[in-house]
Amino acid sequence: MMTAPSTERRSALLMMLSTTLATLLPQTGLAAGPQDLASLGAVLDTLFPSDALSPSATELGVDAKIREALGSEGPLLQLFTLTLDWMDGLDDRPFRDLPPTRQAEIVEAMTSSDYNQIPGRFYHIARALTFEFAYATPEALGGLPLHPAPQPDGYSP
Amino acid sequence: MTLGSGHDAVVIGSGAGGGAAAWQLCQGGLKVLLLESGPAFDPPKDYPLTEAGWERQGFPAPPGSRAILSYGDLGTLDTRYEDLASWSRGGLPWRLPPGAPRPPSDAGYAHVMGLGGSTLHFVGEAHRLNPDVFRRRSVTGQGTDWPISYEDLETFYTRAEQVIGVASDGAPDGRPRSAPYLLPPHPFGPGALAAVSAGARIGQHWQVNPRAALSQPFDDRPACNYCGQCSRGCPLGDKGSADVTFLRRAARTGRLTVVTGATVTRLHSGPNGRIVRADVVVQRRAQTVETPLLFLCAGAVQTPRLLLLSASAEQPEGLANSSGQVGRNFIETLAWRSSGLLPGLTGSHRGLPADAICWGPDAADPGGFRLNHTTLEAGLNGPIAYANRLLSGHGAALKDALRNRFGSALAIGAIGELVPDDRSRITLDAQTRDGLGLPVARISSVLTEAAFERLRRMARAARAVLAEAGAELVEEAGSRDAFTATHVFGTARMGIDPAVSVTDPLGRSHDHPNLWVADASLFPSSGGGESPSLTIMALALRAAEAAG
Repeated sequence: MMTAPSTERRSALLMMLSTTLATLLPQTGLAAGPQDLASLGAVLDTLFPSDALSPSATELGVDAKIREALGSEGPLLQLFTLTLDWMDGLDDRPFRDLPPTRQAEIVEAMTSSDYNQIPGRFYHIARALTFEFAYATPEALGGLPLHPAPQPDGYSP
Repeated sequence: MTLGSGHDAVVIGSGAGGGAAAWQLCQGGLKVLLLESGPAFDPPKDYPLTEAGWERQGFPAPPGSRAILSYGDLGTLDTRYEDLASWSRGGLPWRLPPGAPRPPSDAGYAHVMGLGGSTLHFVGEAHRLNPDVFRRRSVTGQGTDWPISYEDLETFYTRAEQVIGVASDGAPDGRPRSAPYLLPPHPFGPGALAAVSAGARIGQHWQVNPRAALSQPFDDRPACNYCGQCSRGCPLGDKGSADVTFLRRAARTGRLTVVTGATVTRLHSGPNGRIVRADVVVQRRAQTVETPLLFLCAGAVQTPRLLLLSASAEQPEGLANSSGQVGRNFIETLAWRSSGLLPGLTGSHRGLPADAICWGPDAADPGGFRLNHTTLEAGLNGPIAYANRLLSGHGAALKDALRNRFGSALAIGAIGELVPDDRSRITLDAQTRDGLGLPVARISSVLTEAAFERLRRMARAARAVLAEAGAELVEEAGSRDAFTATHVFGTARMGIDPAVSVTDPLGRSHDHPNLWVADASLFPSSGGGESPSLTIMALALRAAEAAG
């Protein structure tokens, strides 16, 4: 029987990145660090906004969990730093200070970007991490026919 | 703890084979020393499934509960089979290029080392092999005949079912029974009802899948409450894993001694070929254990590894290996899954995993594979899976879509017979060592063209069910793209002729009269998609009864 695909995605993401990112990234000499991720929360809230039934990504603490997952070095952090820096330079203000409609336009445009280009790669990985961390919280389950966890009540047919 | 002597039999490994063998030997009055390399798990504590974020966790993997492995030749991604490539609407749009080596998946050889072995994470399908499996080569000209018949195992199938507690309805499935199922069937969940209905309309005969999960309380174990997480570990103990069935009953006899964290590193043969002792490391302390009777039940990867590790000047090819067959004939799980979203279906996260099955859906490939309803064990019962596998997009639209479509996933799985390629085998990898400095097992497994053709038939049959149901296809996965195997077989196959088999038809080594193998290593063939645990148990009961 095939087992459920693992949701521990970081190792798989790193494997993919290690084989491809070197060809994607320009030789910027960029020294990535947490200070470079100032617009991260705004991007995550564009991916997972609040609504009447559940909070936004940052209200769920997803930004902190992703920062932890990115660590202090490595290709995943480099991808996030480089992309957020690029997003901050698209308008006259950083991404985080743009109106929500403009933020949505930018992220929407990234959805159709080639996965082998930096914006496309960032979009898909940021999306996956955001949903994984967000839907791991009981607060995100508003409107879904689910208990916070499968036990102790189960789901009778 | 000093092990030494004082026991009548040693059992290595505590999964389906080791658990059953230990119980049967204890029932026969023997004092049994059971050596398990992994830890013991405490179900309510180790897999509670009561905490938020449960979907991010698989079966727990504490230190020592998974073997270090390496992989050899797994074949390449052949462009002729691009139609069998894995994909998902919501997943990362990333693929290895055509012609690249086929990699192991994250799961790879999916197994558990621990008290109960891989039954701890199995779903618990309790299948008897179809009688035709035992004469597969005679019937089809493909594969290998078994040296035994269905009738030789029937009594032991029944005995195993009555220990672990199997629930089903007894509808005809081509497998004659001497006794009814112990427990009534579980009700179909919403997803199974949709699959059964669609299958019937295209001529497929779907039925209740026999399951080692209690539909009623039994043997001081509660009934299943349908949390749907069998492969994450059963916190209630209703699933028929070896720890709560055979091993618990064996312990009641007072004749079972269990040592966990006990890694056997070498077996030694003596006069007349008898295995006289085993070297064991328990919590970093090397010990020697006498082996008046030895049952090797470590699975189709670790059993051949230990036999090969036990090579000596007298037996340079390893123990039990005068045929040269130890480690050869490795068979992986040939598997496929198609998943869809079915408008109008609700609540498909409810019910028992693998509740419905269809034996032989392809008339042109009778006995070649089966289908089953697999929504739950595929993990399509949580919001992360929906968001990251089944749905695309983001933002408010994604949140709304998830709320509107949650419970409408429908997945059809397929598992098929695989005849191994000559390159498929377990060897020792001298370049990769475990924590004790010993070479690890190296898995090579190459799919043949016949395997790909069968995989294509499996995909076609699974897709047909979804199409008839009216589902929108959103994810597929299969053996073409990556090596993932929960069922592995064949590396110490049984047979009549010592020149081409490792054990006799009871599982006793041709070369060593007190060495018995009781796990899926014995299987001369994989079967036609049956899950192997019940057959492993039946073989172990039969061997232990004969040996004891």
